Amino acid sequence: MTDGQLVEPWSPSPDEPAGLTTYGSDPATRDRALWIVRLGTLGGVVSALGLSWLFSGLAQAYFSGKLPAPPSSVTATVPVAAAPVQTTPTVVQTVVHVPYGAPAPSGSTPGPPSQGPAAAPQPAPPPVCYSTPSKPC
Amino acid sequence: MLLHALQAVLSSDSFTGMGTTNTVAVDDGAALPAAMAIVQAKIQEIDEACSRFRPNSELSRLNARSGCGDVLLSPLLEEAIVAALCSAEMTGGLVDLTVGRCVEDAGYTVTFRDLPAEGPPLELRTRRVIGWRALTYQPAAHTMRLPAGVGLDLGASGKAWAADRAADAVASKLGVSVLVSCGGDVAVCGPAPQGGWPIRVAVDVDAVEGQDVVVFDGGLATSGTTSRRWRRGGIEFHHIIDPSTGLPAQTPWAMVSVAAATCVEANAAATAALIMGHSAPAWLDDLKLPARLVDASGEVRFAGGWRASAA
Repeated sequence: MTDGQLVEPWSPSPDEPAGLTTYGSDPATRDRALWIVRLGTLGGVVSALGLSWLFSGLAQAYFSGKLPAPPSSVTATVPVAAAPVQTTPTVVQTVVHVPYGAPAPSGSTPGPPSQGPAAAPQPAPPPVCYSTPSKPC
Repeated sequence: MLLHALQAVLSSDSFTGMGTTNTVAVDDGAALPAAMAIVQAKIQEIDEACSRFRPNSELSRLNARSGCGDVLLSPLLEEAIVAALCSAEMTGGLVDLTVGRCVEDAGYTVTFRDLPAEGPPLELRTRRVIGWRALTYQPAAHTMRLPAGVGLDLGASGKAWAADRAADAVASKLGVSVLVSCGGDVAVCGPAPQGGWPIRVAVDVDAVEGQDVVVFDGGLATSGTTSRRWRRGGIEFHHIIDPSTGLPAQTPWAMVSVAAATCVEANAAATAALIMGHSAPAWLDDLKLPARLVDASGEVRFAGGWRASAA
């Protein structure tokens, strides 16, 4: 380029095979291909319209917001007289705190009995019990 | 014989309960079976609720919750605790229910029947028990709060309280005069039979030494260190704990018998006198509590108007 020479566009080398760069076209084949493309395009459009119509119909049928019809009532009719009666179970136990039942201690110190123990007359009657230090058994 | 004829015909029977022998006597023989049934039921429910040796008793569950806040008490355990608190108050803390851990430390951890008579040495520390005033008892709420590490033992007052309670139940339900003895702690209720209730005060049922007395009202209780003894490391222990040391009481008395307005009071005074030692006769005199004290040598002393023999 610095020499002012024009560079020719690229052209195939005379050594290269002609089949690789030559676009040979048969008119019949070309027309058939055009028809195939047209029919394919038309078929796709028709299929899209058909599917849209189909799904819109299904949506209208099943997702319209309408409540489903209630099932028919199957409750058996039980006569009141024959119905079972459940009584309320007793679950509350009343706890009563009763004050110490024995005679209350006479004060802050042990109190004497009204009548103290007396020595038994002689001969002594057989004792009904013994007062001993607590004997384990 | 003439004197015996003046005695009412009394019927009695005995059974085992609370680890000891219990006796029921009535002045109407026909009422004895019913009276026995009532007393046995009372003793059974008390044993189940208040025993320290039953792991599932209410007392054991209460002791297990020491330091865990307020615990709701059943009416029965509350009554037993109130009786023990009364005993502590009446004796200035000498009979204290907070000695539970001390009794266990001394080796008394199972029923006496299952307690080995001999065992290895124990390491014990002398320490004053925390005391009954440290317990938080709420009468209105029926709750008890134990400080951490404190265990209650109702053994000091439990049998006497059971005797009072059972005698009261028989008299009120059957309308008879009744005597109930729980391990030697005796309660009588109702009008005394002709000549009174004949009772023998002795260190043991088989003992030759003793005194026959007649009782007319209230209670008669005997505390002593001659029974419920065991040895650990060659040292002898017994079950009466001195709250000031936390150890088995060192006492000159082998046994002390006291009569009082109730069996609980009689038992409290007898146990306190045992722990008190030599000053016990004067204390009993001041309170006018008839008492019979036997020292370790077998010498008998009387206090509070208890007489040696019939006038």
